[in-house]
Order: sequence, then C-alpha cells, then structure tokens
Amino acid sequence: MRRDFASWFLATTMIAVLSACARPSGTPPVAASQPSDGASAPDRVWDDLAAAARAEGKLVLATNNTAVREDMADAFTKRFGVEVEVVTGRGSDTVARIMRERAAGLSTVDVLISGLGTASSQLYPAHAMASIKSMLVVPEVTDPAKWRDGKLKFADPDGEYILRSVESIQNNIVINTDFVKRDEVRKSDDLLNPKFQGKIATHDPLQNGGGLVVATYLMKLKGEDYVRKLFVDQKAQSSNDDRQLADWMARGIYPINLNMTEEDVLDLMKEGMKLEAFSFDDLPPQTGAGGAFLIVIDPTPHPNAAKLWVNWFASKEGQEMAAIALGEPSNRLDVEANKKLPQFLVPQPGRDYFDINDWNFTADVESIKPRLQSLLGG
Amino acid sequence: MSAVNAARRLIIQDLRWPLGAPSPSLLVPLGMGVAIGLPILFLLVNSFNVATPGQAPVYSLENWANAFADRTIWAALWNSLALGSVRTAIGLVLGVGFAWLIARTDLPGASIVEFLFRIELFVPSLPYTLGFILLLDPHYGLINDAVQRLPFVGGPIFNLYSFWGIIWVHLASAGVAFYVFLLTPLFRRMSAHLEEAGRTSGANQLTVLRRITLPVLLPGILGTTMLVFVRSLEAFEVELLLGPQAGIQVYSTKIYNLLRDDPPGFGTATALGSLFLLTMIGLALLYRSAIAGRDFTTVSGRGFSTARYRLGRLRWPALGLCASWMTMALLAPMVFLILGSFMRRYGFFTIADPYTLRNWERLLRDSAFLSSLKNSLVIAVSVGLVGMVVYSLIAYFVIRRRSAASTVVDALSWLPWAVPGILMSLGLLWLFLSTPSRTILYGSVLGIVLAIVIRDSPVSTQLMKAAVLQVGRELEESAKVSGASWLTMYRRVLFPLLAPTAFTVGLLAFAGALRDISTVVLLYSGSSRPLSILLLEYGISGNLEQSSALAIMLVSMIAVASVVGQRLGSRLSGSG
Repeated sequence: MRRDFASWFLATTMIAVLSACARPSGTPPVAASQPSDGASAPDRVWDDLAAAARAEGKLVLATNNTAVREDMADAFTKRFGVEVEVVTGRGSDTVARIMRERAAGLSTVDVLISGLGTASSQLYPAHAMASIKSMLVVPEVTDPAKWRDGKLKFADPDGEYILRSVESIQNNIVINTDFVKRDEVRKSDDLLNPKFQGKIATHDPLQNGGGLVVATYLMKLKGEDYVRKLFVDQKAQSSNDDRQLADWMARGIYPINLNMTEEDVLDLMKEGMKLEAFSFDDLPPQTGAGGAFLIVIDPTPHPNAAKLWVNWFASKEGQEMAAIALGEPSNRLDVEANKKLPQFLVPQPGRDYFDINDWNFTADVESIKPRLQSLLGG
Repeated sequence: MSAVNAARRLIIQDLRWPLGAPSPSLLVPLGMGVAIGLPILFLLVNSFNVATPGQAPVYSLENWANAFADRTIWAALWNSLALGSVRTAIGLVLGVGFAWLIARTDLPGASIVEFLFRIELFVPSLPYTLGFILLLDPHYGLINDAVQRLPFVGGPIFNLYSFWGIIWVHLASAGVAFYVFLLTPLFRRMSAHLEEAGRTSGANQLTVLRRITLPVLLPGILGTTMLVFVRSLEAFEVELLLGPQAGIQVYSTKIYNLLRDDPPGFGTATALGSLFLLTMIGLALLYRSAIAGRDFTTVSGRGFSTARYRLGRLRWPALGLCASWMTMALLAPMVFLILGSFMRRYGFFTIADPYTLRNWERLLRDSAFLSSLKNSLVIAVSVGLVGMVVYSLIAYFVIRRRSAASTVVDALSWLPWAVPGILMSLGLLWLFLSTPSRTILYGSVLGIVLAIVIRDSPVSTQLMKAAVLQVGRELEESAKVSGASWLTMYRRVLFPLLAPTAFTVGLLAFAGALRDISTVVLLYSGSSRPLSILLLEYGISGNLEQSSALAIMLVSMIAVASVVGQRLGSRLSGSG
C-alpha cells in the first residue's frame, strides 16, 4: 500500500512540477473575419492594423480598472481577434514594475491606463513612453472636428506621449443629505464650521493620489492656514480605501467627502442613497482625466497590437466604452455615453476650471508634499 | 557508551547519501544560500541605492537615515510588540489547549473540530475582517445593535476599533488556528506510553500535561510560538482596516505605506524591515538554546501507544467550549461572507432588493477567472508537493547532521520571514531578473512556485524538524542493517513516519499558495495570474461582493484539499 502511494506521490509531483514549468498560454487568438472585397478605405485601415496585430499574437495592457479588463479588453478581442493580457495593480506599482524591467533590459507591458502623477514623475523623464500621436492613423480618430476644442489632447509638454481623451470635473464635494444639508456647504469656509468636526473624510493628503491633489489645490487657492484648519482642527479622517470611504458616506459616519471616486458616487446614487456632488461656489471646480490617461510603453513588446489598441481606444466605439468603464465623459463630441453620465461630472462651457492635470500643477503637487507633511504632522 | 554512539554515528553517516554523489554538506547550504540568501543580499544592497528606479545606482546611507528619523516609528514598534506579544500568548494557551483536546483526548467529534480549525486558518483575512466589522462596529455592528436593545445597556459594548478589537480579529482569524494546525500532528505523533507511565506513577492529568506532554513537545511549541510571533509582527491587513480609527499604527503598516508611496520607497522600507532580521536572529538563538542537548524522541522502535486520555464527565463541556469558539470565530464571519456574496452591496441590508445572484454570475463569466483557477491549482499542488519533499530533506539534514553546514542551513531557513513578504518578493524578483533564465522565471507559473516554496521555508522547515526530532535513529539504523540504501530508507521508513507532518506542511503550503498575495504580487503576469491576485484586483476596485464569492470558492477548495490531505495523512501514518 505504502509503495503504491510512494509511486503515486512521485508521479503526481513530477506532473505538477512539469505543469508548472510550462508557461501557460492564454486563449488562442480568435480568427477574425476577412475583409470583404468592397471594404471602404477606413475599413481597410482597421483591417491592416488588425492583421499586423494578430501576427504579434497579443497585447499586454496594464490597468487597475476592472471594467476595462472585463468589458473593453473582451470587446477588443472579439472585434479584432487579438488576445489582451491584462496586468492589474495601482498605477504606481505598475510603473515601478515597468522601471524594474527596463533596468533589467526587459519590457513586457505594451499599454498603460493610469493617472498622471507617476507617469509624469517617472516614465516621462526616463523616456519610457512611445509617441501615441505618431500611431494614430484612423481618419475618424485624427479628424480634429471630432474632438472638443478642435484637437486631440495630450497631457505632456511635447503633446504626443500621454493621451487625455476624457475629461471630467474631479474631486467634487460629496455630502449625504440625510445628515448634511446642501445649504450648509456652499463655500469652502463652510467646512470649517465646528459642527462638521469629525464628519469629513478624504483620501490621505500625505500620499500620492486624490487627497494630495486636493490638499495642494486648497493650499494654492486658500493658503496653509485653511489647509491646517480643515485637515487637523476639523479632524478629517483619511483612508486610501475607496470602498471604505464610500461606506462611511453611505452610513453617514463621515457624511462629507472631499474626493470620492465618480464610480462610487454613481453606485451609491443607484442604490438610492441621498447624495449630492458639487463644487464650492467660491472656488473654480477641478477638472482632469483621473486615472484614464493612455500611455504606450517604449520599447513596446507588441507595437502593432499597441497601435491597434490606441486607435480603437480613441475611436467612437472605444470612447463609448471608455466613458462608461472609466466613468469619465469623453472629449469626443460624437460619444452618446456622455449624455448618460450625471451633469456634476461634465465640464460646462463658459465656466472657469482649475486643471489639476496641468503639467506645472503636477510638479507643484510634488514640491508641496514635504510642506504638507510638516503642516499635517505626517 | 561512547563506542555505541560512535557506531551509531557511523551507520547514520553511511545512510546519509548515495555513494559518489556530491556531498550534501556542500549542496544543501549552497542551494539554500542561492535561493534564500541571495534575495536578502540583493535587498540589503539595494537599500543603500538612492537613485530613481531605472537609473544608474547611487549608494548612500540616506534611506537608512530617513527610516529611523521618523519620530512615530518607535511608538509603532511598541504597538507591534505589544499586539504581537499579547496575541501570541493568548493564542498559545488556547491553541495548545485545543490541540491537546483534539489529539490526546476522547473529545467527541474531534476530527470535525480539527477540520473547522483548518478552515478558520485559511479564510482570507480581508473578508474575515469585514465580517467582524459588520458584527462589532460601534456605529452599526449587528451584535452591538442587538445588545443595545436590552434595557440595561446604554451604548455599544464592543468596539472593534481598539487594541482588544485588533487582538480579537487576529485570534479568531488565524492566531489560535495556526497553533492548532501546527501542534495537533505533533501531539498525535507523541506516543502515549510516557503519559501512561506518569499516570501509573500517580500523577494527575494536569501534572502529566505540565511535566511530560508539554516538555516533550517543547521544540514544536517553541518553534510554532516563534512563527506566530514573527507573523504577528509582519501582519498589517487587520491593522490597516481597524488601526486608523483606533489611533493605532504599527510597524508593518509604516512599511506598507512606504511601499505604497510613489515611487515605492523600497530602500527605506528595507531599512525598517531590517529590525525583523534582528528579531529573527534573537528568536532563533533562543530556540537553539532552549532545545540544546535534550532528547525529544517520541517515536522509536520500542512500540507506539495511541491511547487517549478519557475526559469523562468533561467530554461534553469540552465540546461545548470548542463549539462556542467556532461559532464566535468562524461561523459568524463565514455566514456574513456567504451572505455578502449574495448582496447587492455588502453589509447594506436596508436598501431595496438587497440580495442578488449577480456577483456569482459576474465572477463565473469573468474571462480571468478560469485561467486564474487553473494557474492557482497548478501553483498550489506544485508548492504542496515540492514543499513536502524539499523540507523533509532539509529538516533531516539539519537534525541528523550536526555540523557547521547544518547550522548555516538552519539559519538560512528562517531568512524568508526575516523581512516582510513583499520585500522578500522584491528580492526574489531582483534575483530572477539577474539570472540568464529570467525569461523562464519572470512572470511565469514556475517562478511563482519557486518563490512560494522559498517563502514557506521557515514554517515548513520548523515543522519537519520537530517531526524528525521525534523519530528515533534506531529505525534508520535498522533499515541500514537490513541493507537498504539511503533513498529506500527515506522512501520506505522515514517519509511514511513523517507523513502526517509532511501532509500538514503540504496542506499548509497548498492553502498558503492559494491565498498568497504578497509573494506573488511582483512576480505574476497576465498569463500566470492566480486567484489570490484576482481577489486583490476585486479588492482594489472595491468589489467586496465579488471578492466574497471568490473567497468562498477559495475556502471551498481548501476544505476539499484538507479532507483529502487528512485522509491520506491518516492512511500513511497507519491510523486511518
């Protein structure tokens, strides 16, 4: 009996180890339909891009957005027959991974969807991004008339590496009206009312992300004293867990929030929670693209697949999906999904906004961090 | 006497290794040094590198100066030590008690109790903690809510966001179960003849437990206590969720925050993590001095008694004690975990139509689920099987070959826990990227298997060492006298005797591999993503409902593996 078992054990061990040695291959690419003889010129452009991408086998996409992985990546594979291998994680973790790979002479990620902070502070100075502008070839994408302000926007000073295809009002003040009345919070100074002490929540202002951006924005517009009073005297509770912030809001534990994510606000509203999201009357609302910037890594392991993704992402079809998946209104004028998003997210013509993704402001965020740490006791 | 010992040494020496093969005294330390020592060396060297990631290295003491310049670090260290000591001490008392009840007494339903402790150990900590928040939050916890309805209660009586709240979650989630899991096989391996002799000599049961059972099991109990204490210093998930509102920051959350910084502060985090290394060295020295020069053999060629202590009238109260613990520590959070997987929003019972099947449908439809499931199974089975073989050999080498080489191997076996998991993972990543085989190891299932096997070294080696210590040398000598080669002796004599512990090691490795995040997070790619990383992804995106569904699947897989492992282990040891 024991001899039988020993044989079984050795055989199982060998099978398991051999299986582990085999690098698992993903789903084989689905054969795409062949273009018809009478295909139009734009169709031929797509067909050529898709054929080149299929020859490379797959695209490696890094994002921390589940909807992008579940919906956009699947839709892309279904349309073009190119498998999408998704690497997930926070933007800063992914960028750290990319930089480590570069140091070792490796490159495994093609495309990154993330916030601007890490891209500007690490990828840009290291020349680790490929030109997206030079990859855009589909006419409906390159046509300036399709885009707000008559141009396709880039966040980097060269105007070609960091695509900014969506734009929304960011870091709205969110209140639970079961606990706080809208009239009680009109201007920024209203938050200093002693009755709101211990009622305000925010992302951590001492770590990169929404909390630090809002603290820097308030520091520039309202000054250090205001920031200290708001975060220290008012005992603002910080968390970097979006779900925890949302649950605090829903239960009224912290019924005022300085930077809840759009997805969480929309989810809670859908569940019937009485939330209001708005900007202060006395300060310009913040605008930006959140975590929806598109970057192609250089060197690109699958350049044709990346080129196909970039064109598709910026197309009407891609932006319809991106607006829903990312919860951000598209800068394309023909995107119907924008109309389905709530107005508190959509920038209005004629109003002044504070661009938190302005290249210089991004540098300010970095430089103000040490002062904030000393001010807020980090 | 010395001549007999010399003869025994010769026989054992002769048994050690096939003739002509490279000496294990060279091979084992070398292999362990490369697999375990090098990643730590990479980490330490890079902790002095202050260059931006991807740039040419610049070395200075800046990271180390920054690490200890923070005034709050000492308070965090004190909190870590206080939380770790208290939970280790309480866990020790409860864990030894439960393990003794399961293995050494006629407790009714002992195998079910043992099985439930295994499940308790393997429930992922995030949903577990969320379950307790739902029960014990001072604002909306269901238990607090129910208690406050009583006429004589004025406010919430439990506050999970406190020192004792954190202790409770740790004890309930793994603190006690870890002891039970590791000590039960050792209690079981102990022949009852020593205890019977004590009782025959007139000692009562408490005296037998105090003077015979516990001293004989000292290596296992000490080793487990060290592991629990080190694990408690490293733990951060519970503290991260409960600590801020309790005003408690611990050492590990400081390190975690540095790693989450942008760019991640790996150098400074490694400098802070170096205190773990010192703690480990201190504990290892303590362990060696505690067991030095003593004989812990409980399995010999003189026969084996499996008689259990009869609890008599205390049988049912003892079962009641176990049932109460299981209800509080396992059943309550598990019910909410299962319930949560069917909720539209976890923990919100008052919204319209709170229940749905959507989370399960979305999980099963997720294209990443099936590939992650396959990867997880391959990884977990490989880690379990490889771990059993490798660590039984290493433990044998450490215990049977008392030499400088075995001391080095023993010390190296602790190193993977000498730094927080994610830092060890970073060291392995650097090691993988530095080798010519980086395209095979980096981002592949094989690389992940290697990393988890290495990471398991402390617990697997310590467990197997305690088991080898319990096996008398005369059994090996008999095999040699009968003409068996070393491999035959290992396969036919030693491994079957070690089987219950080996299966515990294998099961622990299997279950650990299924839920491991910190070791894997820097090493996986889209094609080698395991379920634990999928769980992390759901967590990052705030999808607690799908996360609960996936956690239930993971626990179910572990439960099945636990049943299979237990049966195989019992069959091999001849007790089933």
